[in-house]
Amino acid sequence: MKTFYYSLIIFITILIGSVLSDIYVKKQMLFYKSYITGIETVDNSTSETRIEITKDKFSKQKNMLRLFINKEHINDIEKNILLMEYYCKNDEIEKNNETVIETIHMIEQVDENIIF
Amino acid sequence: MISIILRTTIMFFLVMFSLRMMGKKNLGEFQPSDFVSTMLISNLTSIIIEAPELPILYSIVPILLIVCFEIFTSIIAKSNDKMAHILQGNPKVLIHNGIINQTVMEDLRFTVNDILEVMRSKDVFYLEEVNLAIVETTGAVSIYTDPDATTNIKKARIPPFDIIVDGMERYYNLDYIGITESKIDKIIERENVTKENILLLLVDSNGRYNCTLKEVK
Repeated sequence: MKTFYYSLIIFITILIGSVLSDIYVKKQMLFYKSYITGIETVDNSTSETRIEITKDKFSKQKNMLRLFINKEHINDIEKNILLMEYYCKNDEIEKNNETVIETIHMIEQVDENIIF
Repeated sequence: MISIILRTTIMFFLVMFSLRMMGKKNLGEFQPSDFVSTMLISNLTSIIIEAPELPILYSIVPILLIVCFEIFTSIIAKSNDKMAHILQGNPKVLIHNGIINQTVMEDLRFTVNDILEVMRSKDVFYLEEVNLAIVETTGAVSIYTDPDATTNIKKARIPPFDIIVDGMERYYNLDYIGITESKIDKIIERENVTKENILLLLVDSNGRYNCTLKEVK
């Protein structure tokens, strides 16, 4: 019976842990998405600030996110944020827009695997 | 490279822990659910070692869940007989008083060769000796031989060989028991059957035989 209680504890921990991790990842993804979406419609300085905030937040949360998301997704999102920063600084609006769409698509791909 | 070493180490101890939690057992004693769990655990372990881009939690969580389910199902089966029947199945009687239960044999997809093999592995060569043969839920076969029946049978120097199995001749076994084909034909004539109707014909070197006919459906 002791084993049963241990397994019950593990099971409940896994359930709660999964819900919390899903909520955490979803929140992060929503944050990045909300900051990136509509970058093309705002002026250059605002978009630069937005990308800067996204980049800072992402670099801080990167290691934590690695626990729950495929490393390839994280590397792709990181690379795209850096590209957006570069295009923004060099006024390459079209390329910047393409990268924004690609990044949003990636974030949505990650979102697809999250239930909560 | 260090990451692979770390992953392998973590997975090794996790699998050890999981198997200890499941409390098992030899491979031959596995219930169907044990077997499925072990297969899934080994597969999940290899995936995470082979794919370093995946988070290690992708393997740890499913393995722990499988262990939990395995424990839950075994506890449910322990506390409820009906559930035990659904989850693990019931032992089935394959041979009763020397007669093969052909319905059970078909249900379990046992062949005559399987039955003979199991009997031989338990040092039982005469079908009449078998009082009860039970197929356990693990797939193992337990055989109870009636001590009286064993002493009543006048055993030959060479135990019985399968001469006809499922309507097919195995006359190459006749050399071992030193009996001719014509004698076998006489046995078949005496039983008033055709070879096609015989499920199993065992004959020993004394000419003593046991003929099991196929059940008519």
